[in-house]
Amino acid sequence: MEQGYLAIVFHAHLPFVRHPEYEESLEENWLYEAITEVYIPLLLVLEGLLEDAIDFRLTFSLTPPLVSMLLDPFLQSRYLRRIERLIELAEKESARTASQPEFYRLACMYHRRFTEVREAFLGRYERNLVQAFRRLQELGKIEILASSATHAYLPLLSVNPAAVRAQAQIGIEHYEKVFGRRPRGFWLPECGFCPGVDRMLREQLIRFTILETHGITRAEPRPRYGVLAPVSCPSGVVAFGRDPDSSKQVWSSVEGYPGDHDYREFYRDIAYDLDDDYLKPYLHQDGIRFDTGIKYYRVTGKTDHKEAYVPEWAERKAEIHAANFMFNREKQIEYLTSMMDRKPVIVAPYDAELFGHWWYEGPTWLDYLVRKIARKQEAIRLVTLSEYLEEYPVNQVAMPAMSSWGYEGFNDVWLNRSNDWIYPQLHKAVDLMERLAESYPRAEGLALRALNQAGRELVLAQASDWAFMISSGTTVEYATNRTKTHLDRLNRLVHQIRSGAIDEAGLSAIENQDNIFPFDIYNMFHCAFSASSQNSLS
Amino acid sequence: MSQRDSTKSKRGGRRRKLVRGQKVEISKVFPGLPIKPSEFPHFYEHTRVVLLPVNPYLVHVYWEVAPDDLREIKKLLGRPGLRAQPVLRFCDITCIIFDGTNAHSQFDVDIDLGAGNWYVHLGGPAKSYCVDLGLRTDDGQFHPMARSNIAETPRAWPSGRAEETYMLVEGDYHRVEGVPPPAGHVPGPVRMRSESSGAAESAEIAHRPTEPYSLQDWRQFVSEPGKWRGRNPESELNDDTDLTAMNERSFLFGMSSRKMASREENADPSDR
Repeated sequence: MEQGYLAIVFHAHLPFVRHPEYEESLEENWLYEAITEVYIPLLLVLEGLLEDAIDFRLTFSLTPPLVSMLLDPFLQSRYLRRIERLIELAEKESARTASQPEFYRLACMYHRRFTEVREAFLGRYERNLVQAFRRLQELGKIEILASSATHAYLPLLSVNPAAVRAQAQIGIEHYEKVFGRRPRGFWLPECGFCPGVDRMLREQLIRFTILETHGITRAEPRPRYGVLAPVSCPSGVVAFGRDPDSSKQVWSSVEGYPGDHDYREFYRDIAYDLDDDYLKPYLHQDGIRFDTGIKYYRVTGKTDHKEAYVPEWAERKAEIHAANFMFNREKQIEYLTSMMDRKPVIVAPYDAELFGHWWYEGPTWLDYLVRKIARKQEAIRLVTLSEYLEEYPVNQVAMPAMSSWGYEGFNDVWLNRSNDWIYPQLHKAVDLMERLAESYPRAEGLALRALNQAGRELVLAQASDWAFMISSGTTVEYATNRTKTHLDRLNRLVHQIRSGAIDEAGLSAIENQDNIFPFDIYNMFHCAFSASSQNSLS
Repeated sequence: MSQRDSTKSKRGGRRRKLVRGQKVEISKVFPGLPIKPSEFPHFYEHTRVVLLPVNPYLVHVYWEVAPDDLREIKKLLGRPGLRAQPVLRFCDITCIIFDGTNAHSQFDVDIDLGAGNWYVHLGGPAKSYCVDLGLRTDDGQFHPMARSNIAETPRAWPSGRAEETYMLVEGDYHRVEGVPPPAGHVPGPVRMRSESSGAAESAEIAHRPTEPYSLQDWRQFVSEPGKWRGRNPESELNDDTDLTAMNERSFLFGMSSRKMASREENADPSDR
C-alpha cells in the first residue's frame, strides 16, 4: 500500500509555426527537432513500458498549437523530409569518422536512432503522434490536459475577461475534437495565474489546474499542507502546486541531473564544427547553420574542452539518477506521512522538451524511474491528478496567488521594456473583436469565413511565445514579425468586413497559412463576449 | 536559433535574399489596400489608461489619449500663467468598494504624456490599485482624463491567516458543497516538529533534510546500509514551521526549460 503519490507532468508546447510560403523555414525546425528528440523517444519509452506490463501513470499537457502542427499533413511531410536528410547526414558522418573510433560509434548510433525514429513515425504511428497519445489516455496510462488556444499568458490578457474566456473555450473545444472527451485538467500557459482565471475554468467544467509553488504557498488563507496537497479555489477549481524539491533535482542548472559530466553536451553540434560545403545540403538553403542533433561530446565539466560522449557512461548515470530521484521521493514521502493526515501528492511538472532535447538522456532516465518505482519499492505510486481527486474530493478552500513559473515568478518575462508595446495592441484587438461580435451577431458565408479567420489571427497574435522570445533575445525579429503580421491581418480583415468588400483570394491565402482551429471560433468569441457582459473577472 | 533571413513574393516572383539584420517585410497578402502593413489603425476613440501588475512591487501603466481629449489638454496647457503636469494618480483601494473618494491613500507620479507608458515601483505587495490619468495644475486642481481597471499586486510571502474551510467537489461539479474537515483531521498547520513531544520522541520523527540527499549520501546508503544514519537531526533546522514555510524555503523561481538555455552561463535561478 502506497504512502504517497508522485504525479509527473510533461508540458509539451511549441508555438504555431507553419510557412508553406517558403521552401524551407528555419523556425519549423523547432517542431522537427522535438519530434525526433522528444515526442517519439518519450512515446517509445511508454510503449516499452506497456509491452513489459509495467504499470504507470503520467500526465501530459499537449497544447493546441502543438497538436495542430502534429496533425498537419503538410508539416508531417516536411518532417519526413527532414528526418531523411538527417539519416543521410548520419551515413556520411559514419564514413567521415571511420578512422576515429570514438566518433564513429556515435555516428552509427545517430544513424540507428534516426532510422528508428523514422520507422516509428511512418510505421508504428502512421505519421500521427497525437493518436498515439490518445491511445495511451484511453488505456488509462496517461491523462492529457487541455490548455488555452494559443498558449496566451492569461494574467496579462485579463483586462478584458472575455479574452481569457475565449482562449479557454477555444482550447477546450479543440481538445474535445481531437481527444474525443472533455478534459478534466487544464494547463495554464507558463503556469500564469491570477484570481479570476479559476472562474473561467470553472465555467468550462475544468476540475483542476497546476500552479507554481508560490501560487499555492501564498494562497489566502495559508494552505495547511503546503504544496503536498491541492487547494480548492472558492470557485471549486482545484489547484495543485509544483513540488520544489523534485523540480530542483531536475531543473537546477547547478545541481540538477542534466548537468552531469557524462551527459551529452547540448552546445556542440556538428552544425557549428564542420565545413560549409560538407554541411550545405543539411542546413537551411541560405547557408544558415542550425542544430542537426548530431553531437559528439559530453558535458565533461565547467570547461570549453569537451571529451567524446560515451553512451554507456551516460546510460549508467541515467540509471543512477533515476534511483537517486526515487530514493529522495521515498524519503520525502516517509517524512511527510509522519506529519500529514492524508497521503501527500508530489507534483512534478516539467517542460517536455527537456526530455530528449535539452537533456538527451531524459527519456532513458524516465524509463528507469518508472520501472524502479513499479518494481523496487512500495512507498510511492505514480498517479494522475484526476485519480488523486477521486481519492480526495474534499480539499481546503484557499485562493491561490498571482504567479507563474517564469523567471522571477510573476509577469516580468512577458511584460518589460522589450515587449510591453505588444499589450496595447493585443487589448485593442480584443476590443475590436468585441465590436465585431456586437455588429455581426449572425454571419454566414464569406463574412463568417472572414470573421473566423479574424478570430484565428487574434489568438495567434496572443501567443505568449512572441513576448517570451523578444524578452529572452532569441528570434526577436521573427517574434516581432509574427505579432505584427497577425495583428495586421486581423485589422485588414476587420476593414474588409466593415466595408463589405472581402478579398476572397486573399482570405483563402491566409486561411491556408494560418489554418489552426478549422472550426467556427467566431461563435466562441461571440459567446465569450456575451458571457462577459453578465460576469466580470474580479 | 538563427533568424529567418529570406522572403518570397506572394505572387510567385523572384526570391529576394536578405542579409542578416535587414528588416523582413510583412507578407503582402492583401495588395492594393490603402492601409500600410506596418501601421495599426488607431482606435483612440476614448482616452484610456490600463494598469498591469508586473510583480509584487512593480506595475506597468499605459495610456492612449483620444484626439478630442488631446485638443482639450492643449487648450488647458495653453492658458496663460497656468502650468499643468500630466500625472498618474494611484489610489490604494485594497479590500474596499471604491466609490471614487474612499481610497485608503493616493499619490501622484509625474509622467511625460508622450511616453505612452510608465513603470511604477510600489511599496506594497497584495494591494489593489486603480489609476487615474489626468493633469494636475499648479493651483492644486486635478483634471482626470480616464480611470484604469483595478489591478492587484501579487503576494510576496505566505499568508499568516491559517483558518481552514473545506469544499467537496464531485464529478463535473454536479456536487459542490462546503463540508466539515475530513475524519481524523486535527486542525492547525502541519508542523515540522510536534510542539508537545519531548526530545526522544522528536528524534524518532523522520527529519526532513533541507536539501535532497546527495549522490554521495545515497551511495553510502546503497553500499553500507548498516552504517546508514541518515541526516543528523541536530544539524537540521529546528525552527518550528509548517509545510508551507518548508516549501517556500525550498522554492526557486523560474525553473523551466528556458533555464536550460542559460546553463552555459551556469546561472542559478536562486536570486530571490
